[in-house]
Amino acid sequence: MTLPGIITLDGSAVRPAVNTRSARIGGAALSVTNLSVRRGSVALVENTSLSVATGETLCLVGESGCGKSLTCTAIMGLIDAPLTAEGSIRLLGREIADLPERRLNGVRGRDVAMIFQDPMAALNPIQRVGAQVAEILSVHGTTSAAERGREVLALFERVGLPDPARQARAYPHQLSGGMCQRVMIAMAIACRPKVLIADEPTTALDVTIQAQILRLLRELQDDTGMAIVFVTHDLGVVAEIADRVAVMYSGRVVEEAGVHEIFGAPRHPYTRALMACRVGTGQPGTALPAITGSVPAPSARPDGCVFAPRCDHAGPLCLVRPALTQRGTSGTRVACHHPEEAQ
Amino acid sequence: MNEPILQMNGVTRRYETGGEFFSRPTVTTAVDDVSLTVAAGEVCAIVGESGSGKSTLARLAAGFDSPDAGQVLFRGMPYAKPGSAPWRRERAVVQFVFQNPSSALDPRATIASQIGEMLTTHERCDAATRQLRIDEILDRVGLGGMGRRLPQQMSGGQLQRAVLARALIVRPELLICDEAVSALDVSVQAQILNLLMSLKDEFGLTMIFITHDLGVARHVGDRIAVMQKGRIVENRRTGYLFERPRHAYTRTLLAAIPAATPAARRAWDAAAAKAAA
Repeated sequence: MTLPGIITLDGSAVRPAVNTRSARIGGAALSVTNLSVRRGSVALVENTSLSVATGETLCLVGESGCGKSLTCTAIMGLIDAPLTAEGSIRLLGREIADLPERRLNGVRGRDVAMIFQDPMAALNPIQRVGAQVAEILSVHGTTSAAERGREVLALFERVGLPDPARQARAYPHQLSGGMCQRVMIAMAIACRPKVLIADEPTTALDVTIQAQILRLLRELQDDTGMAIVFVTHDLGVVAEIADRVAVMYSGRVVEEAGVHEIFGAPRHPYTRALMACRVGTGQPGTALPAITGSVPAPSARPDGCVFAPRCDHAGPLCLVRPALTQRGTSGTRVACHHPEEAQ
Repeated sequence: MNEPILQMNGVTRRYETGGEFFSRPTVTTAVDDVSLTVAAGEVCAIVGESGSGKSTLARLAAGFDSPDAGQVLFRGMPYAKPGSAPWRRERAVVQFVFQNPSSALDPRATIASQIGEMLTTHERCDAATRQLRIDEILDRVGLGGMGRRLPQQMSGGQLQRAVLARALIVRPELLICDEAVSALDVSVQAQILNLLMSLKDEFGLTMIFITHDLGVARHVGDRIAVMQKGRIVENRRTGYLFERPRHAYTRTLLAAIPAATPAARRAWDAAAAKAAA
């Protein structure tokens, strides 16, 4: 998947070629195989497989209700009754899907950490934010309180919180959404996890703060080589941060490819439709090519291809037979009876 | 330019915040000496980050709130005293669409009855005409046959359509949308934006469109006003604003928009590439 960078007249590369980053991308840090999350007999996430390598960012995209967040929650081992999860989750080569809760606590926060979508809801409202970050350090073995204190200040500095000593004493309600999100990120990176799961970490933030957070995640990745699974529905964010993209629809991955392929030559009609309906791509004021209808409820999925009812290219076969995943070169895959030809 | 439908002259709105227990209240100036004119038939987009005063400005423009200084004129006249007969008429002429449709609708009443309530409040019409008007507007927003549903039986996009139907059934002149598409998925957002644009032409609406999304503002706005800390720092035709932003804050905002494609990725990657080379 090496695409040439664009070279300007004076010879300087304005776009980093893919291989400048792929140099740092190593072996699989996390691989999820045939993950399903069910409520009773209804599969909310069905046979989903994903993998992300050291130093790599995988973006998970799709509309609300496609199972993006549930997939993350399942990876973290946070699926609770009435939901059940099955499938294999290998973290740094070790199976964690069937670890008992106590063992999992040793893994969560240290090897794999998660940034939740709504920081206000994820932080404890009646504990100072510094103490909340210190708790993670204490759970994972920093025994000296003084050391934890220093560590928290260093982390706050790292995530760009102004005046760390003062912010550490603040309660979540005294901080803005962007600041709370930075606290969440500080907490997530406190033990230098090998894998970071970020569930829409910038969706609730202003664009300027979003740009700072994306940059911060990038820098942290460059420093520590962590793998990032980044959930978003914003394709602009995908363009900024992804190395690889997995598109989810109604609980399944329908397409996966490198970020340049996804933007340059999307193959699944759903990916193409998502790309087309972004504002800012067409002439202002003209009608946007919207996707008609909505994502089917997991209990009411159609026979055949799940996307067929909303698809412009659906033929007779699509209505009766589910689309199987076809694998292409360099890890790309697409689940469609009539995918656009690969370029 | 058409005649102005809404004029705001030197409008200021302050709030007192805090002041519990022993702390002194602090005064926040949410809208600070803002002047804005919206011409008939125009879509004026207002962009800015959280806390910049966009929503307060929208509430002032709608007459939900009165300014501490300056004046708001609708068709050359200040808004009438709340509760008076002229005020009731004005309420139909200016309509508001909120960000979160599920909290803007009554969870216990059917969509049709909530839309019909607008007619009961603002117009006199018999039951048959009323039903006809409800069916007509539901069809128009793409909810034909769904009038008997409760809000919980509808998706986010359908709810926002219902809110639009409720606003438009009384044929307003000015529609104020406060982050009306922000909570929606891109696919649904595109549907609602398309609907809004076609309704605008059909109903001859003037719109104030509040958003934090510059892409959306560019798509719908004839003109964009950029707000920062309660002030409008730049207010120009959409094309000019994007091509030649004058104010430093506008440039900051434009620079923070995520890239459209990975090829246009931000500078930090280029810097990393340079370091690697």
